[in-house]
Amino acid sequence: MENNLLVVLPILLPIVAGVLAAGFLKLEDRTIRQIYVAFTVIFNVLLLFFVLRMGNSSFEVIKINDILSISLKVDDMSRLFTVLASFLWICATFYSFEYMKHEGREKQFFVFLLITLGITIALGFSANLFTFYLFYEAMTLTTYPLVIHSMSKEAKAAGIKYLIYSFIGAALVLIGIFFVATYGHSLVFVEGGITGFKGIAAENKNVLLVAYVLMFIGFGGKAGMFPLHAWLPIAHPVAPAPASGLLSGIITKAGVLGIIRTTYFIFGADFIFGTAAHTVLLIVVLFTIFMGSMLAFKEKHLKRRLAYSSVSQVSYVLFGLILLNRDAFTGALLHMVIHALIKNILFLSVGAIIYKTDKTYSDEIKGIGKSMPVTMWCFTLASLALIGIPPASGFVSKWYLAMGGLNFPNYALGFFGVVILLVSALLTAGYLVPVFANAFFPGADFDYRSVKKLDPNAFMLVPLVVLTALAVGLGVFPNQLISFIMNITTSIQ
Amino acid sequence: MPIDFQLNVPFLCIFILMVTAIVLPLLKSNNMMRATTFVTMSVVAIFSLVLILYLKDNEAGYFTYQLGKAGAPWTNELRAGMFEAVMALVFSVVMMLSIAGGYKSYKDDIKEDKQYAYYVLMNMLTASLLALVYTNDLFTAYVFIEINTVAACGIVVAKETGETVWATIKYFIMSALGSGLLLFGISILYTITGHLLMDGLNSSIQQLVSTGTYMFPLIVAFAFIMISVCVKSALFPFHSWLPDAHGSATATSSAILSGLVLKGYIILLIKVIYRIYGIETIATLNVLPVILILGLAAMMYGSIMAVMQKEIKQMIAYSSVAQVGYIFMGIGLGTKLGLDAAVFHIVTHAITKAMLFLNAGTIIKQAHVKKLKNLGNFGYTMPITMALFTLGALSMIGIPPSIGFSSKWNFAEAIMTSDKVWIILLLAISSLLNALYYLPVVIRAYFNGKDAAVQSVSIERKEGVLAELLPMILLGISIVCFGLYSDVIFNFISVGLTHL
Repeated sequence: MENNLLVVLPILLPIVAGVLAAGFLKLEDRTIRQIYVAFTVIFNVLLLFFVLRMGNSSFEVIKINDILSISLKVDDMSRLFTVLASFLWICATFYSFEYMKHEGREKQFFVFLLITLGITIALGFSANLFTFYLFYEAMTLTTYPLVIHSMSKEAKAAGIKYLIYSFIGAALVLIGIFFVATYGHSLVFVEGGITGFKGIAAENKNVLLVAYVLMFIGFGGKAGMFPLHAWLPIAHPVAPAPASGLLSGIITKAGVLGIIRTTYFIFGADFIFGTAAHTVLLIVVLFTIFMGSMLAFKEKHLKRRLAYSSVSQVSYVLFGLILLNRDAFTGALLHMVIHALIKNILFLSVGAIIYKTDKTYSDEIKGIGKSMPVTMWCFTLASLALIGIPPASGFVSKWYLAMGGLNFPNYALGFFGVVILLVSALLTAGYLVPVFANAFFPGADFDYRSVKKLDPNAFMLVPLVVLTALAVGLGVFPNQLISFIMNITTSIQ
Repeated sequence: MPIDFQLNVPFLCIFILMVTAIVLPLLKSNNMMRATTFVTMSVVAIFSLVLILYLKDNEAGYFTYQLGKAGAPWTNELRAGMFEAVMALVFSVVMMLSIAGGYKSYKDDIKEDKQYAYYVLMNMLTASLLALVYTNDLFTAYVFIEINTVAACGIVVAKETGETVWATIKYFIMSALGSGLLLFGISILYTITGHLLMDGLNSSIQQLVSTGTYMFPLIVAFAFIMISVCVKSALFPFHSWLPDAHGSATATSSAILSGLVLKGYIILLIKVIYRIYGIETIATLNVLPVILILGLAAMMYGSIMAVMQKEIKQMIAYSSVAQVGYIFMGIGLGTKLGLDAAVFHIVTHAITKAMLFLNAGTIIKQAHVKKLKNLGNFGYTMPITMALFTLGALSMIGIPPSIGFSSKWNFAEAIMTSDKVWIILLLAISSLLNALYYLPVVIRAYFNGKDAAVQSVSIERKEGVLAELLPMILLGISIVCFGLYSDVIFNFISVGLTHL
């Protein structure tokens, strides 16, 4: 319904809670703080569900002029994104209750965790490019403290790099927004593309395609796409493990959401299809998929390996988006959800290993499967899902992506894309299997008697297990999710 | 009030400010002088508001007002439209807030028995700024430019240290040279046209251009006037006096210098271009590209130099150089949208820069910190001040919903609709450069070391009382509010500029 003020609540609640926690409430006692944060996050999810069930509501916060306004709207794409984000946030929050004891400065961490949650939901609810840009910039600023949390020299350097790449990306997006506003006279997201772009003159179209490429690259920077990817392998590992999980899992998807909104809700698939820009972006995405997997394969530091894996996997999603057909789009959205779940599982299990043993390199964790069986089982199942072995969830999303690739009119390019997907799957196996293989089967010279039970406590394990169950379950029973996603993709194509 | 009273407002504002300036030294104490200054400026602000409301409903949109009956070309003439009224309102309010906000700083910086002079100069400065805004003839313009120059030099040197004296000498010499050039330009124009009133000049110049006579003197006159304005408003490459003047001056003086004084001259240049010469003549004289290039160069140069600065005020001063570049770029585009964007940016910059300089002044006064590298953890020792600084920084970078973003948006619209679309890249790059020097300060203030934390409750607060921070807070609130409602202000300015 129009002008539904409740839409603002899931955004405001975590932000206000975070700001209050920062300056105005005495939350020095750990238990009280944890209850405060947990209550906020869970209550926010309930509030979110309540709002999402109210139909496609909208709310205009303020109108600045004819083109610029801060407006919120709930549509199916919002539902998918915000539910995914909120759910992962709960898991990350409970995990952090235990993990952050080892890192310190917990209050600062939870303040920015809460504020970022609010902003992420705001991103999902954005109804036009201006609102999206506003919250996109805000998100960079509020995730920065999460990246530099440990305050070490590497963390601060990583933080600066994060800011630089993010702002450059946002500047490219802003240039694109200027072009869209000038030629299209509207920034509002409309399914199928804004009306100002239908029947546009040919010379203008070329200028707009350049703008589209700039926006794709700009948003792609947050999603780890070449050429603005270099911050990801540096920033994601240096953040605390739950933050890395969220950065790789949700924050990258904010960039993906930007691309979805720009491609399908501003420009429209017909505008871009078949143009040179289309081909160029497809090639860049394929290159990123391959590059990410190769670099992950060679990397020995566990968290950095997972970061490179994100570079590759998020570009799977972008591959699905840029193919511009329905199956590929379905696969992209599926993979967006599934990768978010899986990457969180991987980062959280590696975090558990670091928490309990302080080991960060892949060759140091031989035999850890004996001492941390639950953790490593979660890691293993998630890895199998990511590689794409049926019936795990990764297989379902890859199936749709492959179908989309083969349906692509430019047969050579589509087929090449599918080949890259396969090669990347092999490389994924190559960088994930040795980790859990060594963990469970350390070989003859391992000292079996030195094994102690090191699995972390319930706060950290329960989120892990729940996420793993979901990741596996979605592979075996994907139909609900697929039909929901098909709803989105059919109406937009 | 009889309906005609509003017509007197422009003259009255200037007049009561000058009378106050003359009367002030007779008052007993500095506090009385301060109170009187505030009362006068509030009256001026209220009058300007009255004028805005009057002009909103007036169909003509503007009116002229002759002082004295001597007739052209010797009378002084004022002209008030929506544009002038909005500028007057903004100038008087920012002036008041700057004086209020910087009180603690200048109370200590200036000798007790010399403070009367400071208040006198403030009033004269406001009077001359308003005169430059309202003037419709070159003679009045020149007289008040001289008053403006002397008053501006005075408020810099009010804090009598070696640095300020040297900076003021530099400022005065450059400004005097500028004034000389301005006088040359005005003389040339008077000689070839016989007019000093802007309307007369306009019709005369149209005649000259249509017959093609005196084209070279026209260009030379414009060049002299333009260079003079560039020197006085610190446009690259004539900006070198500004960082020195700022570095040592007291907080209020810096705020007013960067925020208001520079803008008075730019408004005069706008009048010369649009009212005296007319935009078509200027286009044929082919001087707009020069303004554009200088503006773009200033944008880049100011930001690059700001990155290399080590002191807070110097960094903000170079940021001013860049922002003045934006305004000249808007004028140099030659389109109506460009002009609207440039004037809107005058408002934006006045508010934001005044607040930033007041912040810097508070930091220097309360915490005795002048260098950027010592600003670690200031987000916790001076939370409100640093929060406002962060807001100002985000506005300068151009993050919505601040007024700085609205300004950038206006510039982008102007660029996209002109034929020089490539400038948009420079706009984006300069925004990034702004981030490059503002963000490290903000980061250092909040996330400095291992012990810096939101949770630390035992950090001593060095901040002043709320009453001292109130002017800054008001400016900060207006940065966000005016950003959200920038449409209203922009429309006023746009309508006002159609009657230029």
